[in-house]
Amino acid sequence: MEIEWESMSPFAPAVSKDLHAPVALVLMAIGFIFSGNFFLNKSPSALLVALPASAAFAFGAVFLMCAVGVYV
Amino acid sequence: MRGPTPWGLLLFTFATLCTASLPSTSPATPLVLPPDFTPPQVFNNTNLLRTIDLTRPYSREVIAVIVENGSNQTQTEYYVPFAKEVVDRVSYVEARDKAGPGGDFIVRKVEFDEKSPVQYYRIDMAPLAPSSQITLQLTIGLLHTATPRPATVSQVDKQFLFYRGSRYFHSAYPTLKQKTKLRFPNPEVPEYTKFTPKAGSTDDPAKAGSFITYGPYELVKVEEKGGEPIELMYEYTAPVITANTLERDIEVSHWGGNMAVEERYTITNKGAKLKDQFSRVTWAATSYYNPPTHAIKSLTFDLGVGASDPYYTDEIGNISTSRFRSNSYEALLELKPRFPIFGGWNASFVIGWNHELGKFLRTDKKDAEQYVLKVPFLEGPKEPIVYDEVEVTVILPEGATDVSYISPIDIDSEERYLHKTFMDTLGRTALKLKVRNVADEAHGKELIVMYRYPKFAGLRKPLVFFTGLMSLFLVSWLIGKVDTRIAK
Repeated sequence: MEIEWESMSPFAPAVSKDLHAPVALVLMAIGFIFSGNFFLNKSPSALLVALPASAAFAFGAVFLMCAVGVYV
Repeated sequence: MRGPTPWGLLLFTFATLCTASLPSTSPATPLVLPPDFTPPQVFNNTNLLRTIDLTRPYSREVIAVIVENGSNQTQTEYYVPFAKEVVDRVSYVEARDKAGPGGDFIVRKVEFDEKSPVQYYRIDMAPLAPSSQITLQLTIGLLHTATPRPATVSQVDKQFLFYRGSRYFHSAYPTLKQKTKLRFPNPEVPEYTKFTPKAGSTDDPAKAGSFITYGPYELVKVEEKGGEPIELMYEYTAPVITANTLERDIEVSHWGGNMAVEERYTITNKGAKLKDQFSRVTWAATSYYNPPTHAIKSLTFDLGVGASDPYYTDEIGNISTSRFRSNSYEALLELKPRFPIFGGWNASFVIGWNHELGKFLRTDKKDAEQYVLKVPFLEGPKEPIVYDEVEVTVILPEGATDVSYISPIDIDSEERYLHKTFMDTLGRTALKLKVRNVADEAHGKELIVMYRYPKFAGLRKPLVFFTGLMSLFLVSWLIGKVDTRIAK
């Protein structure tokens, strides 16, 4: 087991702990901008704006939780 | 509705979210023998030296014995007997080939007849040819061997512990020559059993400094078991710290790159109780010259280099009497309980801290979805301590499968379940390991947990949020489309 452990690579997270807060803020900001745009625009193309808004909010929420110390 | 596409996406997402399966379980295999079992008389103990270390709140016996195969067949199974009332307090039994290349041997508890006055552990040695010898080293950890005597002392009195053992090593085989050496925390041993020495020999036992030696004794038969009891009283200046329960949670977060550890302790000082009421004045006066005390004043935990965000709380809230010293070679958390814990007093508290996950988790270079977690099974305080019940829970990320583990100590029972907490849809894969009677020698021994964590499982949390928000947007867009005008 020891040899196997040595030959394995240490886990590296997608975003390091220091960057959780800035990444979360940027993503949430993007989410708010796109959703603002969505609510101002009632044409069918608004749903295309909802896609990046939801995605940014979704990832932003995960990093925001991590940034405040609730490691999900 | 504009078409089936968004709903289809929604249904597909939820269907995939609900298909993750529970991890499998692996049953334990006890060594079961017939109820009328007695160990076959195939060995002789040629020479045996037993050293009993009483410097900690449990006893640690190291037995070095030259075992000779007295039969005419190759033998591998060596049995170690324990009295029925002792066997429940056995923390561990380890065996190794002391001089030869045999290394560590597997030791297993024998299950045969619960009512039998003698219970056994079996050592699976390297094959021993007829009339050849092996030097076996047994290490036995026994908990709760000493009780305070007198049972009550005053706040500034010395504390003495009473130990009852046996004159001979209780072996399943005849022993030709043996000696028992006891080691104490200091030379203060006011009472110990004395035997009449044989003609021509010196005192039995012989006392030198903080050691007492019984023997040597020639030819001790199996029927003698341990022989006459030996009783001793020795000074023990430290508290007898016992953790009645310890619940240790290790939570792995791939998104956060974090390993969170939380330990919930309920501790008791099993030392001598206070004769009178606790005197705050005496306590404050004596703390100026800081004498050794039998109360628990403080506990020091080494959290490992890189530990961060420690906390120390109990049911009331934060306990402010703690200090965290973290530098490049250690991270010490020094705790003071809310009150000094004297004999018979209890305290419960919670400590927790974080670590970078990369130090403990590695991934297979060929298979990026395969992970190996290597963490200390127990950490615990630097002060000598014994644990009655320990529960170690490893909480893996949601969606982790194929969980297996290698434990450094024998596990009594394991439980696998789903632990639900923040942002979880299914629950995180959790593995709970329960052990009884643990001595502090288990500190730092590593538990290895292997699991698979598919890429999709990692995306579950954002995907759930994405789906929820997307449906909100869709509903709001649809409501915005409804024509609420009364007249055209």
